Amino acid sequence: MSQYDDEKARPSHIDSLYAADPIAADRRLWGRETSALSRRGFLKKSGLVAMSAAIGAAIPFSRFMPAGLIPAAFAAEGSSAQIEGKEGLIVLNDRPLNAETPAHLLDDSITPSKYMFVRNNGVPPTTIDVDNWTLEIAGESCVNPLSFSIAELKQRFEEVTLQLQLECGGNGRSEFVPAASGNQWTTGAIGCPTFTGVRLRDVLNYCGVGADAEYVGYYGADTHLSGDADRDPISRGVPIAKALERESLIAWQMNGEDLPLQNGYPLRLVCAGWPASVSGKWLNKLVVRNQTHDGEKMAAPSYSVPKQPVAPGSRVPNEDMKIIESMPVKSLITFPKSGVTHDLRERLIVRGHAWAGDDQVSGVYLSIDFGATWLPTGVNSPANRLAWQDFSGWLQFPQPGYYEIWARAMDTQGRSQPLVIPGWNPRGYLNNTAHRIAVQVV
Amino acid sequence: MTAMTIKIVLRFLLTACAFAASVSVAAQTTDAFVQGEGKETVQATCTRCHSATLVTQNSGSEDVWRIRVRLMQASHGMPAIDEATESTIVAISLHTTGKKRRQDARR
Repeated sequence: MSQYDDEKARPSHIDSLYAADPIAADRRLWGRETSALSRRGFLKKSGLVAMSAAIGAAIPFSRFMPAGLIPAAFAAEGSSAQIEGKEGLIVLNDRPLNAETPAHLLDDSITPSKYMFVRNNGVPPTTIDVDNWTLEIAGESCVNPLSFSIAELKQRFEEVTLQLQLECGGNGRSEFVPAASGNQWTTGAIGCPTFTGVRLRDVLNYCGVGADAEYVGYYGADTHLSGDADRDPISRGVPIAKALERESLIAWQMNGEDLPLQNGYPLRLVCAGWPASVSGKWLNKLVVRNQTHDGEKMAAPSYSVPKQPVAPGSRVPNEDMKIIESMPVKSLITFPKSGVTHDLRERLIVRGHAWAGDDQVSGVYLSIDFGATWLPTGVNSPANRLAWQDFSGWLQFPQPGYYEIWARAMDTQGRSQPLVIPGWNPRGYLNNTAHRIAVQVV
Repeated sequence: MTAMTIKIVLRFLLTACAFAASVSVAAQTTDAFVQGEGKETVQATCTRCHSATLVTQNSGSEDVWRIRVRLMQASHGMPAIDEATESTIVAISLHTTGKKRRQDARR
């Protein structure tokens, strides 16, 4: 439980208890017993009192409540307690695991590992022998195919630590109408921890990059959801120019510790500023290709958008789609938490982060009047290229009432965040609408 | 009882146990999606690989669901299904999730 979870004390593992035996879970968590005949209601008042206290509200129709029912107030919060090494994440999908971070938990300048979102396409490896883990470098445009243990990578190449932002290409998908297929991310599939590893280009150049090299593709040790060993869950990558940038890493640490299992332990690729799916996890093979990599989820409609703008709800043939590269400019308000009550007499400090794919952020602006007027904020330089940038400002309100704080970032080329949902696309990628939070001023 | 029979009984028991274990997990995730008619179809196709929440967080028209089900077969390793099965899955998905309204998209 974090300091922010003030609304209600949510028992951990509630879902697994109910899954094992709903009636026993009723009894164990709340002391609840129901009539054997109707299987509804509460035989003893103490059970109802316990459940109401946990929800934080009375249950007017408690007499109709079926036995073994998880209160929706809990079910809606997902099962964050069950992800090892993570805290407070909202689970969108448990198979494959997809979990995002509420905005107010992303307040740190450097995202703590426990708050780094999880987007899995398959099943993570279950047995990992880190000492015998090998990374194979191959492909038709690799001059000398070689394999490295993690110890050899550490020994042979310069170690680098960089702060790098990773955002899922589908972050914000939930706002598209008509609905776009896939996990319905809101704003939390973003994070900017530090990664330690070696430069991808040092390793590739050591093996020799052919003159005809076009693309670098990855393979990982995760397995396909169907259990079919011949299928890869995902095998994407980046064009050779992006791969050879000095910020593209083969990393074994996040924030100075081993990578969390769900974020790719023991080895992953990090090519920041592009959809995070290019940064392969549980990395065990890289291929230098003489063509655009054709691994799983490289082809449209995956991680692709229409070449030309289309009307909402359009059917777009695959050949009219292009692969997403750099992500658009975006920002997130991480303090205060949306819904906060604020004293009219006080200034309200507002903080957050902004990022702009391969580019940099030139300014972040705040509005309290639904976008009619904008105030500039102070924006820090990034810790290094492809790290997000912190912004902060303060606001004062003219009178009590309901306000929304909107944040809008601009990149160095003058592109800024739209105030309505940008270009609809079939799979709901690249939603960089201005972030909004609610404030009650009293 | 011959050794042969014992072997068969044992094998049956082991299979039954493994089956029971896998079904209880699948049943739990499928319940969010469908109960009663069509449940077995969904377990054999959709929730065999992914959890029901991948379906229930989504919405769309009948056509959109049909495209999704076909994409699952074309690109994501879902076994090929006949037209009747497809219609069952589409109907259940539609019934469970409804159509997205603009106000549902609010943060």
